[in-house]
Amino acid sequence: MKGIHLGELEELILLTIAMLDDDAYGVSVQERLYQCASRQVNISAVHTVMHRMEKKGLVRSKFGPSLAIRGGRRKRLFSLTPSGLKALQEIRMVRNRMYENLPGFDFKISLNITHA
Amino acid sequence: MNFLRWYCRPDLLEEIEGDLAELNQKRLNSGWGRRADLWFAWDVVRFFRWHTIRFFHPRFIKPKDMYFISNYLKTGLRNLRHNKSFALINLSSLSLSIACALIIFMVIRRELQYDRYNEHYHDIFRIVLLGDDVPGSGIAKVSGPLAPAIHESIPQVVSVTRLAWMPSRLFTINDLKQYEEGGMYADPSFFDVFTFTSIYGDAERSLSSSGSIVLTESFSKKYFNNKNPIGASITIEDKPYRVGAVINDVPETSHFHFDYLLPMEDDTRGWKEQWNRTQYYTYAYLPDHHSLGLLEEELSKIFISQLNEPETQDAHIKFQPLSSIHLHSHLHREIGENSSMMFIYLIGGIGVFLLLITCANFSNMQASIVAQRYMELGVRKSLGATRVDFWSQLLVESSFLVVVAALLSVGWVVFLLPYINQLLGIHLTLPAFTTGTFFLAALGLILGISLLTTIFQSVIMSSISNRLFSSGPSHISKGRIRAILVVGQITLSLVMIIVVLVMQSQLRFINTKPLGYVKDNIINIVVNDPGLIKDVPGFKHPFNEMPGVLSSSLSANLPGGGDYGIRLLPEGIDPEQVPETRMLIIDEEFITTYQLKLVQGRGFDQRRPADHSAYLINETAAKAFSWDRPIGKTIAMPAIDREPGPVIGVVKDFHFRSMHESIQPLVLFMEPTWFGYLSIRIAPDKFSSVIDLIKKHWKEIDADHPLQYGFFKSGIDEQYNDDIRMERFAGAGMLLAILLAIIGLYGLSSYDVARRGKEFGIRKILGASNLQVMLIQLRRYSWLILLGSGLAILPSIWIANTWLATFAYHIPVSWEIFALAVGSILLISWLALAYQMVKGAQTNSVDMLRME
Repeated sequence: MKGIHLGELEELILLTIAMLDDDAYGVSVQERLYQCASRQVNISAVHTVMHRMEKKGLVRSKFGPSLAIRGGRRKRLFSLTPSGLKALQEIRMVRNRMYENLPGFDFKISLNITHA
Repeated sequence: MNFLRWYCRPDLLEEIEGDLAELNQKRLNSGWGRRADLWFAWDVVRFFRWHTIRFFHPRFIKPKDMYFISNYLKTGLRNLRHNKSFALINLSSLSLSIACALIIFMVIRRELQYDRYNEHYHDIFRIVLLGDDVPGSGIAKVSGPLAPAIHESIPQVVSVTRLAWMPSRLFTINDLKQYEEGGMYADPSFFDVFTFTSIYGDAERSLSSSGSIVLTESFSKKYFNNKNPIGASITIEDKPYRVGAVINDVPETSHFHFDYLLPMEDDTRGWKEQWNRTQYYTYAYLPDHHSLGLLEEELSKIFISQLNEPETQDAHIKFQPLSSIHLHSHLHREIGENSSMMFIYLIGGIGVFLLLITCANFSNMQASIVAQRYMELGVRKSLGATRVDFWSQLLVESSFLVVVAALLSVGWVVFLLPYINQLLGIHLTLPAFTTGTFFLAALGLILGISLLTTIFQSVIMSSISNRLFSSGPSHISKGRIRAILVVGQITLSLVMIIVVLVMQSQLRFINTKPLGYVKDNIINIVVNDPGLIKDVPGFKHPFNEMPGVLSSSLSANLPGGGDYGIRLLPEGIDPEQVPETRMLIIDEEFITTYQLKLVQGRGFDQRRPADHSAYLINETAAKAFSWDRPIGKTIAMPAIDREPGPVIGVVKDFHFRSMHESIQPLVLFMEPTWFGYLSIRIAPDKFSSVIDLIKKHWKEIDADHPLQYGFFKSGIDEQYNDDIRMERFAGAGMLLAILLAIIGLYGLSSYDVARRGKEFGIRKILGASNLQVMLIQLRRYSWLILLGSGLAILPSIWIANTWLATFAYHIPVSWEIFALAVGSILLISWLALAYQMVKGAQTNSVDMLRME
């Protein structure tokens, strides 16, 4: 996967888009990010990151329906492209591999600790 | 929201607007109230990002914008080429003022940086002594024992150090003998307080061992080139020293300067233990300085109790922050010359004023160009240009000129800097350019000027704009603003001209006013070895024998130099009421060497030993002692064991001090043991040969001390160095002011000619001659100039008199100077106006009117 390095925020947002499935747009991503990761991100940052990832080919977008709450404007709905999905898997594999190779470190126990 | 729509790429606008609206709605629903609006605005601002701004996105730049900017530049350049003189004047004046502003900025920055080279400068304080009686009075030095007392009694003080001045000393380095000023005694803790780096050796250890010396880098280079001088031996007077360390030079922006440091231990003057001798500059490193007031009180108590003198109960110890010394401290016995905030405000004000005037002139000129371009603007309008387009065209053109001028100004700065350095005696260098602050300042300057000119232009040109873009009546009253500007400039230049003329004639007056003695062709030799002059005639004889020496005289002091203030008792005067009297201690030939004139009696005579107890006085002294017949009256000086001796002559008053002071009572007498100077009067054509002879002879008689001599005239002239410097400064200011006034007038007249072209055309058709048309214009400007002159009179009288008041002998401010100044400004302005006036008068009416 040379050439595509995901920043931490990019990775989080990519994950969020994957989680939201077919309702991923600026505001919903921002809210979900706050719920899942307690990250307060400005809406403009969300937009910037999503457009950047679209340029990289990790997500694609289309316009959704217009709503009254949005003053009649349409949403731009984002969804993962195959390469976006691949990027997520890649990241996860790299992480897992690295965690397993940590000397003297039991992954399961540490998981329990974080849950507690 | 409009802001968003303005900057945002259209393809992103919809989603952004939508998200923002949704967020806003949600915030409103959860009861955020007004805060929702603020958040909304904040979000809009946050969206202002690189990728959302349409101007940076090639697809969404309106082709019109790009095209028009280049078109504006093109037509602007074309117009500049059409009006080459305009462009030249505009650019040169603008760039010159920007350069002046930059230099002023550099000077101010330098002033504000004093002593900040020290790492802990905000924690370093100088300890000074203030008296309560007069505000602002006080001494920059304190007693020697105070520093150890501070160290003992105040635990917060991390370290404290003393500096003590020393007179010039004779250095012997490898048979080379030279007098060196610029030495100081310092405590070893000096380097704990101040930040210096040792290039060779350990400076702190060097200061703590007697007999070793710390040199600065350039001083070490002077004697040892680039070699490591550690351990080299230097004999100072008779005491052997070894070089212990070499440190970097004292930065120019330091309030003290030295070439070498000797250990405080070697200060054997015996003042160190005396509480009543305030001889030591004392500095403390005090990181915890929250209760300075308490510390000051405590120290004052210690000081007063140790001083043990009932009359000095009101002495106050004060802590001065190190970085404030250069600009805020004006005590007695400062370690060097300090500057003042007044200076900063003054030159800062000048800089701002200069820029304002230049901006005004620049806008004036621009406006007159625009007025000549009705045709072009008309065409643009008919092709659909709006008022906004008109303004953006102006903005593009003027900011283009400002940027070019700013670039040119760098050249001016490079060119002017050496002169400025010479004038101020400082070393500003160009590397200051590369610093961030300087860059920011330059950028700010450019932006500021562009903005200012735009504002000025909007005032000036709204009439043009109105005429072009509205059918309503236009307001030409804006002409008055320009007239006021021009009057202000005329006033300013006239004030400068008058002040400079007054200064010049005063300096000429000083140079030509008979001093009462002759200052030319005399050299002064310092006699360091008192053994040489035990036999005065025997010492002088070889000098007098040299061909070309007219006469020579030994004295203890020189006219214009320091003098003695010994209590004297003139006959018949109440000892309590003796007026303050100055003294010159001279020998028999002094009067012939300096060519003083005797008005009564006779001078000292070699053949009369009794003359050693006799006196000469000057006319002022005779008057001050109210002696009608001074000859034969007696004077005594009990303080130096002189019995009453007769006055044998009266010398004509001469200016033995500078012209800043009035002539005071003076007593001249002989006291051979005090002599320290040999003055030799030389025939002008034999000057260099005599000096060679003297050098040779000096080596024979005093091998221990190198010949130290100076020209008497230059010493006398040096007294007025500050005045000459000020005159030059004012002169430069005057040139600038005149230049600006000329440009202002030229701009005004060219605008007028452009505006009133039709009027002149009609006048000429109705039978007016060229001359009449010119007179119409001349009347208008001369009126403005005379008004400006009238306004200038009072301030210039005030400034000139304030300056002249520092001289005891000065010229009156005469009406001739005013006449000369007004005459020259009229002439200058007519010259500045002539071109446009003639042009206005000679225009062909047909050209002007055929458009109607």
